[in-house]
Amino acid sequence: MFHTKKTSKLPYFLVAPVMILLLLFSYLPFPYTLYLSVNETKPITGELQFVGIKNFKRLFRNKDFWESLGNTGYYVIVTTILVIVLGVIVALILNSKIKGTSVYMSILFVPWIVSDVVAGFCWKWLLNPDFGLLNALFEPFGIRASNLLMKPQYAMLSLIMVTVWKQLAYSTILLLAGLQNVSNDLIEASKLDGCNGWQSFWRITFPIFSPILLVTVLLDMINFISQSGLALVLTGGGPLRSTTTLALYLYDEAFDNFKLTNASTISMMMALLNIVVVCLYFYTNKKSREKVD
Amino acid sequence: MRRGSARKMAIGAGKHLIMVLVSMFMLLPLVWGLITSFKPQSEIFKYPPKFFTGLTLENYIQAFQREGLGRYLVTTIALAVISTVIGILFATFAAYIFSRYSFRGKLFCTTFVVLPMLIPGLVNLIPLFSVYSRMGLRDNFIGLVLLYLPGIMPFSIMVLQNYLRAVPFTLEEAAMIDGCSRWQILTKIILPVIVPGVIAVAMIGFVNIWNEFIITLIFTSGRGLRTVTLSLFYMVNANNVNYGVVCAVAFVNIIPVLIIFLIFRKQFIGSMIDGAIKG
Repeated sequence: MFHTKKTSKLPYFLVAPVMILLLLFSYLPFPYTLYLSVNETKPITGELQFVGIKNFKRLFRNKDFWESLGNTGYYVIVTTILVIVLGVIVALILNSKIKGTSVYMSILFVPWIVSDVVAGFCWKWLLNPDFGLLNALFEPFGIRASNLLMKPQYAMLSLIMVTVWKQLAYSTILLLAGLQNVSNDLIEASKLDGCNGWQSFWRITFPIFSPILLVTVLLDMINFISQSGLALVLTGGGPLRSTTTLALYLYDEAFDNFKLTNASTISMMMALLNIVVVCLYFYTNKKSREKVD
Repeated sequence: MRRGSARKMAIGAGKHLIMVLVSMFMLLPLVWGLITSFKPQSEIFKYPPKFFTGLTLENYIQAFQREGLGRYLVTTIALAVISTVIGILFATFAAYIFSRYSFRGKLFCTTFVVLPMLIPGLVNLIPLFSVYSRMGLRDNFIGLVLLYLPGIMPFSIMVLQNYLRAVPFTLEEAAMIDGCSRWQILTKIILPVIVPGVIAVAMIGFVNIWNEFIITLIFTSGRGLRTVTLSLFYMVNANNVNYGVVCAVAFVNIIPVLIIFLIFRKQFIGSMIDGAIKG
């Protein structure tokens, strides 16, 4: 480690570009959002007028807000559970060093590296009501697959399915890294002491692996709370607002209706939700590293 | 034959069965899109759809001739390359300083640089949109590059810091004794050693910008700065979707990303883990 004399400017000089850019584009926007959220745009002049918490009061009375908050909760929780359950299963299989692990892993990653637009479009085409492949495949079973996108009661399920499809690789790889923290010696020692596979999993593997599991859960939640691209392409929030999450509601208000002050109010609520999860993430990440070290 | 070996084989087969099913689920939508992109128009709008039909390149030809895909490709490459080069250059400097120097306010700086990874991007776009509109920065190349950079820099810094941690400090001490200046140490000793890491984060940054469409959607209006991914978004949302052509554009969009991924698979996966857990 170089210890710089007080006169040395090199570290500050080299760090400055990143700091300035992040200050301008990641930090300063936040207080400005807060400022916008307590103002209203005057109809004709377009000037801002301070209105206090009026925007928030109106938001809390708005049915759309509660609906999208509910949708976000449903979407985030169900998607996280599915991604984690499937992720743990796949990670356990890949960790058992079966043949073809690297091929499976590559395939798993393909959805993750394509853009949200490609992902949303390909599923939309697959579920097309008139010419879709899935309709043809499931017709013999009396299932009309395209209803998954067309009917309000199912649309969220399609969004969840596509998100799982796209994000499974990310969770799996983190969980796999967690499993690889568990040394084989420990497992073998426990077997010598008479543990069966099930016991050694719950008594040895799981306690070492659980901090990373928790971090993965929280990272997934952070991702899913602000997820907007997939929904925008796949369903556009419909049918009948059934897939309008908070992120999408925010997008619509800001960039379709151009109500920037309203959107900022929604934005503040979304940020609040995020901050809670982020704090949990930092807390558990710190703990998990303490354990590993 | 040992007792239980049949059971072991059954478990092994079960594992492969699960993985094959998962793999099919992962590949089906994209493979179906790929097949569609090579189908003649008359076959695309037939029900029930067939897997194997005559092959044609007409969708790809139309994508380039009528939709102007070539121009979007040039725009995307220009935006992605310039943003990546600038972003990674500054990120490398910062990562190097953070891992090798102790100076006043270091903890503040390292925290400051990592925190933005946890701010949902959409939240910041509202005030930036307002400011950009007033300053006439929308539809501006540099303006767009500046918006992309915060998305790639924090992650790159975290990953490169991890990379640098593995490089022994004695290397630099030796260089110093041989009379290298600190700037020379960075450019002549450190950079060559960490080139693989720099390339890995550069590729991830490139892929991120290549795939990005929400920022581009909000901050551009005409065709001037339209990227391939954004053009795809507009095509998907058009009234008459020409599925064959859209599938062709989708595959032109995927191919560079797929090639990059297959070449740098190990680094991609390793960096993701570093960026998420070790930071």
